[in-house]
Amino acid sequence: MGCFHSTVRRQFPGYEDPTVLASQTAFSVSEVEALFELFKSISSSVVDDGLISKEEFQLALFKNKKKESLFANRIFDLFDVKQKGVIDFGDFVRALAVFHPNAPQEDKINFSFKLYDMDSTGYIERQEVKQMVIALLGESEMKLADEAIEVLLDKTFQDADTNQDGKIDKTEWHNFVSRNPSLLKIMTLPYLRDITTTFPSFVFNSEVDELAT
Amino acid sequence: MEKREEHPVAMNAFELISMSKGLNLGNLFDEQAFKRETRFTSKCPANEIINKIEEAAKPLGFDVHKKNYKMRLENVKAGRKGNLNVATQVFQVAPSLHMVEVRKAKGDTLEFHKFYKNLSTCLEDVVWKTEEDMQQVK
Repeated sequence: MGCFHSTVRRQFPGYEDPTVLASQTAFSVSEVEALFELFKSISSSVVDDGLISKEEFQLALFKNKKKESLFANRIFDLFDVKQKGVIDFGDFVRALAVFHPNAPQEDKINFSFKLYDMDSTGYIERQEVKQMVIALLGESEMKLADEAIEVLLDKTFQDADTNQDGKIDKTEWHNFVSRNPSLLKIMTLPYLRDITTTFPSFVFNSEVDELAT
Repeated sequence: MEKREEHPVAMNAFELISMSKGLNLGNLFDEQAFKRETRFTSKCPANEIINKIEEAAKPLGFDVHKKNYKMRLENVKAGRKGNLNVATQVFQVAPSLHMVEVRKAKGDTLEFHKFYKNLSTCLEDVVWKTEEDMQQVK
């Protein structure tokens, strides 16, 4: 009794009770338990320390631990709320909660804003968007003339940057995304709804015992 | 005779950016159900893309309805879940770069998958990068 959680807490720094995490997110307790199975597999893939490192994240996403990506780095940074350079189980669940189909739109919009606001100034600057476009073209081996990129940025900012100050603030982003809902597609993972079937958690018999006492 | 709009709908920078593999966390889950929609990029002019899609879809047994840079392709024959109905739309990223969305509107997803495979084979000289290409790690 109680020893299950203390053992787990030793092996998985930052581990939090699934019941607590479920109460704070759109996940059910069994969904959080299923996420733990996924977390265990990712966090042990390079170093078995109960935490997800940047390399392990890259491995999970790209099947290549050495693959660097501007975008994966942004996602990793946003998951790593405490800025420790690693993602613990609590971080993992709380961040993925935003991607649940039932998560509030507001949370998705805010997350996506932070995602693109790469230097966290509170604005998405034109230079940042340019950097991201170039990164996308590079990783997909597509070429686009600089002039064409500038036109693309002009059009995007004409649409999104309503006060025309060269950057997109939170309100402008909200409005922009409301007009272009497909921009939030990346913020929803339908798989999260079926996670209990993908990752059945046989391990948590002791959870049931805990509840019985 | 239908008048076509001058240009396809413009695609904004964020739409392009969101195609990055690094932003598609679905890849964390090993199970990848085939999606109901996909995209590819093309260096061809928009009109040419539309015409080539029509040329490719007709011999595959599909009726084609066009309006500006949107098309509806409907299988004349019924499949497992009725007649497969596919919607496509051409977007302009730049005058030299277009993005084509191909989406299942009605019917069986597996049949859509097969149709798309056949279609992309016929569209080899139109397609620059498929979504798969863009999601692949080099």
